Amino acid sequence: MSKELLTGNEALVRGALKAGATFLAGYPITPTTEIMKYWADEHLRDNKLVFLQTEDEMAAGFAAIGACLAGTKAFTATAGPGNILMQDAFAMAENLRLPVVSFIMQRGGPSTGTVIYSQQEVNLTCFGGNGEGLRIVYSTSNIQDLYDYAIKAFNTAWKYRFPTFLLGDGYQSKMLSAVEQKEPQEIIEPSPYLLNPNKEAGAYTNLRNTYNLEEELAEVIAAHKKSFEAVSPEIVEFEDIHTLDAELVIFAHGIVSTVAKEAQEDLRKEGLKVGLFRPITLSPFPTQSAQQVVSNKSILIVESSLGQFAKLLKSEVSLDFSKVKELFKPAMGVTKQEIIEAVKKIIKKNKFLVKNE
Amino acid sequence: MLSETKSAFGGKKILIAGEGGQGVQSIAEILARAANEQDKFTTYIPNFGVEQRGGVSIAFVQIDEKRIDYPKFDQADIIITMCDRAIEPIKKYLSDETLFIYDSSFITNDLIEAMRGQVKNYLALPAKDLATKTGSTKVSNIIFLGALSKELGDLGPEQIKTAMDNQFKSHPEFAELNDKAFDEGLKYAKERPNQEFIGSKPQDIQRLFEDDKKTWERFPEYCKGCGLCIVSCPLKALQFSQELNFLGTNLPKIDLNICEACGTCQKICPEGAIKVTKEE
Amino acid sequence: MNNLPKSWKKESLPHKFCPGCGQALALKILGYAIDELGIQDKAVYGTDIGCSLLSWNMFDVDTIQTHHGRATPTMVGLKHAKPEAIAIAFMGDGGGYAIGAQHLINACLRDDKITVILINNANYAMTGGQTAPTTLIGEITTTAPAGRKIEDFGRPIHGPEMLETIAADGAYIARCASNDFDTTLKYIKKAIQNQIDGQGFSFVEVLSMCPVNWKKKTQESLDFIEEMKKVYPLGEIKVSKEESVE
Repeated sequence: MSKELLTGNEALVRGALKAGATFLAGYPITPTTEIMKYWADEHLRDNKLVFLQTEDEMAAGFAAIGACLAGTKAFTATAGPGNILMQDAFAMAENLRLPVVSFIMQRGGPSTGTVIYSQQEVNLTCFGGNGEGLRIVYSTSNIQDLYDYAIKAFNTAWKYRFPTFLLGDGYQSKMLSAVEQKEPQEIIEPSPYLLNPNKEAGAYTNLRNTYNLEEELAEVIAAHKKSFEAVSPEIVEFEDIHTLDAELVIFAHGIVSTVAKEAQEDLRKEGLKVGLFRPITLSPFPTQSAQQVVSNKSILIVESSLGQFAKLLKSEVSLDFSKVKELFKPAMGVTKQEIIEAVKKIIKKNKFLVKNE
Repeated sequence: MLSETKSAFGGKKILIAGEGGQGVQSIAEILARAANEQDKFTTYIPNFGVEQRGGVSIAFVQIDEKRIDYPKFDQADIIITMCDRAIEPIKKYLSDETLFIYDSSFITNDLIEAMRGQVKNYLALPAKDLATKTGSTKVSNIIFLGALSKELGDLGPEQIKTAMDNQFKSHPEFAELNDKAFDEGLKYAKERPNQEFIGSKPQDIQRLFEDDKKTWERFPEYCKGCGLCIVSCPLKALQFSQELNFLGTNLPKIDLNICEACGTCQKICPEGAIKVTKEE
Repeated sequence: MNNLPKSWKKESLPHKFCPGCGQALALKILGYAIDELGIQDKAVYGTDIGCSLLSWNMFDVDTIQTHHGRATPTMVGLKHAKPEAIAIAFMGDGGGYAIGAQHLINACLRDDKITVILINNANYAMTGGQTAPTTLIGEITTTAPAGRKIEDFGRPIHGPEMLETIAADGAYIARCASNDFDTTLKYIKKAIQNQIDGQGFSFVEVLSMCPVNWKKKTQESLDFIEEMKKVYPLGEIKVSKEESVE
């Protein structure tokens, strides 16, 4: 399969098409605007595709929900303030377990911040709305991921029926790089919630998300949670690089894990025992695997936010906080050199402590 | 279930449940205000669904000599139940010591029968009937208030009645009716006649009215007693009857001599509770 | 005519609307419209928040209860994904003229082929009677206890008239009162037929009694409808171009 040079936004659209998506509703916002442009072009070539530029992101989110209800593989794409507005729709999708797929390409926040890049939408994407975070979130690290996980997002969404997110960022959106457009091994078929042609005659579906009694809602949430936990082992993904014999493990997700990987390789070449743990699914979080990695090791958490990923990690995994250090660069890219220096500072301090015991 | 200690005064945990619109929250508020006037500590919280009317309306009232911070409780000292739909939700608050006060003239007997094992202590209060006798079905809640007023130790009927009059002082036209209803309820609770643990037997309500030209049918299980049919009938062939619908308000009845089966009442009824047929 | 529409779900009766509610009456009429047009198996009914959500299980028709103001865009999305569906969005004055106003306007602008039915009862009923965009000047609500004033809340909104200015040729826009059974049935059927024929966007505003929040007895609530008609005139504000040519 030849490798084509694509931007991240293009790769997302290619992946969505490969996955059988036929519906995009969206509102222009940097850095995802091109997704709409490419889809609009595709729609000219294939008028079975639906393209809806809505009046705002709320309409986009709810239109995508409407399309899912009709049994169509629908998605939307947004960032920053658009992501905030879409939480209204995402909360409904959580309540009803609707397989809406969303591409979130993080930009600087809070508010309109920058149009460029950040990792500051972890909280919003994993826990936004007024729900309990029963969502599936893939944190992509490069353009190949965008293509691969776009496909996976649709399969996961329609197989397991939870709102599914691809969490990328502005760098990934705008990068130009080679993508191998593999044929997917399987494509999950969608099915409608309403107007199902296979339903019994005289049977009608009435869906709601408002309940009268506390008990009614509590039951629904318990059932969703049970299902989510049951399927989490099938969904969870992570990358573990040389953590086994490491003295220090870097925790990073998304694009920061790629620069962390470069730093880790350089450090190993210098003889330092450094590993890297990259959760790919932030939700469900690879808790068990991460827990196994952390014992008796120094930890360095690196992210382009003031600790949204760190907070998530700490809530999932039992850590010896005396051994945890953080490198936070909110709304800015992290450099390899910064990571290397941070690691070396920790290791030097550790050696000093050991020496003086 | 851990039992909660009761304070010396007999700090009371009172649960009131009825149809939305039956005045559950009104009497709960009166109790809270009465307690407050007597320098007792009180906490009251309503618990209801989204509808403005209809649907089960529940009130949690606590009165004590010490401050009460948490508005809900596990078991009630007194439960007031005003309608069929309120029976299920209150069951988990029943204990052996609970005083169960229920509308024996309105709650279906089957539901009461089913509770025979669970209820040790009760007052069968025919509130709907007493309210009608007093002058309006709308004062059932006040009948309950009167009956309840003798169960609250030194927070007595005088204080509660005063609080009630205060509550409704912007509607002086109802003062006499409310006072009468209160007294009726209190009297019944003192005298306690007819204390079999039974509920109301299904009444035989005439549904179909017909002559050789037309039929007029009413559905008590849908009718809410709004009166749209009555005010909309071009011939004034409808009026309220004494019979009650599922909500405990009055059903309409037809005068077939005046009616010409135009169907206006059927069209205007938001519930679909009237059906008119003209014999061809 | 039967006392209940065939497309009403009997098991969910009695429904949860207040005694004397004009919205329930409008929903009964919608049920008859669905029956007479034979679209029970093709229709999707989307309801908003507010009293309209009480209708979530009222129909033997596939239904979805959405968030406040979002019945319109949900139906728009569904209609675009499945054009053969008959998408009916049902909402109140808040869902249509306040929080959902931009969705309503843009659906009309795009000429999305959905049918919107909006209940105008001049207040936000479910939350206890606050001022709505349709509250009359001088009308007392919980957030305008001295009566609505223009300087605080602006002027009452004329929704159908506003939509008419941006509607496409094939749109159908009308206003009626739910206590007028025959006209309401006629307009709702025409609105849905407009969608069935693929003509364009269709919209019906229905003036409805709200005796509980208006604090009015039955006859008084009907009298208030007459007051509302003076501010919100009834009629077919726009018919699709084809019909107007006839």
